Order: sequence, then C-alpha cells, then structure tokens
Amino acid sequence: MHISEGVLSAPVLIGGAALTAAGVTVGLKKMKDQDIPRTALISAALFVASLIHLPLGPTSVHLILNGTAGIILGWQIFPAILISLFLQSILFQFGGITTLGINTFNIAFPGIAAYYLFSFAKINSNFRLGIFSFISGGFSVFLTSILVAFSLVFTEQSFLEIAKLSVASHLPVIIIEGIITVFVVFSIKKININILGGVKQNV
Amino acid sequence: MFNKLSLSIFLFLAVLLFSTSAVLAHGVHLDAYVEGDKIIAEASFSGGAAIKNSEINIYDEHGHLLNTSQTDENGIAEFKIPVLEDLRLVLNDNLGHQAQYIIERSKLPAEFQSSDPESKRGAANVVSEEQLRKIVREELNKKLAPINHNLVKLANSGPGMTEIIGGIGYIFGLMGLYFYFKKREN
Repeated sequence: MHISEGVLSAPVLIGGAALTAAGVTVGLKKMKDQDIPRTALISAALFVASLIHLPLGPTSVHLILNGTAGIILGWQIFPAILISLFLQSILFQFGGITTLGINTFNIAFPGIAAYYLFSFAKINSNFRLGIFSFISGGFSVFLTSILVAFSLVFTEQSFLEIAKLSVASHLPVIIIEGIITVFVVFSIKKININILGGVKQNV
Repeated sequence: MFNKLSLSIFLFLAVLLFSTSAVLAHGVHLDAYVEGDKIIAEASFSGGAAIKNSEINIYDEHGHLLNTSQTDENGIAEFKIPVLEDLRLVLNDNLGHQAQYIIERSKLPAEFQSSDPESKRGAANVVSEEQLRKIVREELNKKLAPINHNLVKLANSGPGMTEIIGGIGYIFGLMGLYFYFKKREN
C-alpha cells in the first residue's frame, strides 16, 4: 500500500496525484460542518491502523480499514486518507511525498466503491447487513491490492504475476477487515445508524 | 453528540485492542556494513521483522548493476565487494516497497584486491607489518559483527509512541483549525 519513493514512473505519479486531487475536491465540496469531527476521527483511526501489522502471508502486511472508513465517510474518505497518509509519510517514513497521490487513490477509491456497494444494496435484515458489511470490508482491500498491482504494472513485468502476489499477500487482511467491518457496522447500528454517512437507514 | 463520543471510544478501543500485539509496520529498511571482503546487507520492515527471500541489487556509482542476491530467513544477504567505489544497494520486494543504502568508498577496506592470502606469505616466519594488519583486521571484524548487527537493529526500531500520538494530535489540531476559521467567518 505504501508504495515507496523512486519505484513508480512520473506518468503514474502524476496520474495518481490528479485522481486524488479530484477525489479530495469532491470530498471537500460534499463535506458539511457536522462531518468534520467524523472525518477527523476516522482519519486518526486510519493513521494508526497501518501500524497494526499482520505477520502472515509472503510479506508483512498491515490493516488498511478503507472499507470501514468508506462506509462511514463516503466521499470524505479522500481528505481523511490524504491527511493520514501525509502524516504517516513524514512521521513514520511510510511511502513518500511523491507517491502520496497514487497511494491515496489506491486506498480511498476502493473505500468509495464499498460505500456505494453498501448504499445501493437492499439491506432489510440483520443477515444482509452482516453479509454486505463483510463483503464491503473485504472487497475494498481486494480492490486496493489490485490497484497497487496496476500502478506497478508500468515498472514491473507482468500484471498477472504482481496481482497474484499482491492479492495473495493481502488475503489475511481481506478476511480480517471483512470481520472488523461487520463488528464496526453492528456497533454503529446499536449506537446510531445515522452515523453511517448517507447509507440508507431502513434496518 | 453522545453517540459520536461512543463511536469514537469504540473505535479507539478497537484500535488499541489490535495494536497490543506489537507496534510494527510497513516501512522497509535496508542497512549494510562491511565485514572483511564482504558486504552484509540486512533488510527489515520498520519494527524489525526480517524481509525474507527478497532481491537486493548492488550498483556501482554510475548505476550499473553489478550483482544480485537474495535475502535469507533472517533478511540477510551477502555480497563480495565487487569494486572499490561508492556502492548503492537497492531492495525491492516487487510490491512497491523499495529502500536503498549507500556504502561509501571510505567504508570499504583500503586494499582488498591485494588481500589474497597466498601471495602474502612471507619467506621467513617473521610476521610482516602487512600480515599483522590483516590479522588484526580479521579479528576486529569478527568481534564487531554482532555490534554492527545490533546497531542496525537499533537504528530501525520503528515508529514510537511520540510519532503516533503526535500524528493523532495533528489530525485533531486540523479539525480545530477548521472550526476556528469557520467561526471567524460567521
């Protein structure tokens, strides 16, 4: 997820930065005053989440929580992730400033996908709520690993090879984040379903 | 407001619960030191977990690829010193993580090319100054190897509490700043 400096070529970096700029603009346009604390809170959670390290799979991977964040924040996930990645790059030396754009897009875009999946799914029972939470949480990590492979395709050899490696190393995270998302969504439901930004509230 | 507070408490508890295992993560580090006529490279994720079976390339100062080696179970790879100039070691795990380490010319042994043991054997039993230097150097290397290893580990202990709390502070600071300016607008 934290693609390092000096790995990617300039067109990929610029493309990623442009997409992120667009996403952040949409996120900020849609952001109302009452969304600010929620965005900041999730941003802080995302910032810490990548310190949680899972010694599983071929490489060492960490939690991303972009599915959970996407469901809660909607488009505000873009500014939230941008801020948390920026702070990670200057405080932890994860990733880097030049790769900030592409890294933000790789993480935030699947979050948006999870958000729409969750909003458009007809959720009318607890069972469906659980299933869709799991799928949204897991799917967004899957999509992130595909996007990482896609950003590397211009510098590495074959897409399929990298994608396989990338998905395989994220497999534990996909499952764990699916489960975490279920827990988070059910806890939010117990507290106040309105916290889920824009998601239909007919459960 | 109460609900948001509950959510925040829940999220932080969830995060804390998971972070108890170890605060480790995903920067990659490459460190290297010279031992005799070899370069020892150690690859690790920030926090110290070894990067296994990863490729490390060694380049000369003009960027030509000189040699490639794989890290072992402990994230360690060894190279023979190829040339006496500034050397650049690059680690790439094919998933977008890259780190590099530069070994300066001054860190390499002064005359390793002439250190062929056979050619150095003097005719007499008298130990020449040259041979003595070589013996001392070898012994020193042996003694210094574990210290080098520990130094590498120390330099790479991962982000600490200060950085983590600091980052969270920045985020909430930004939130406060936004509200401050918002309030002044009205």
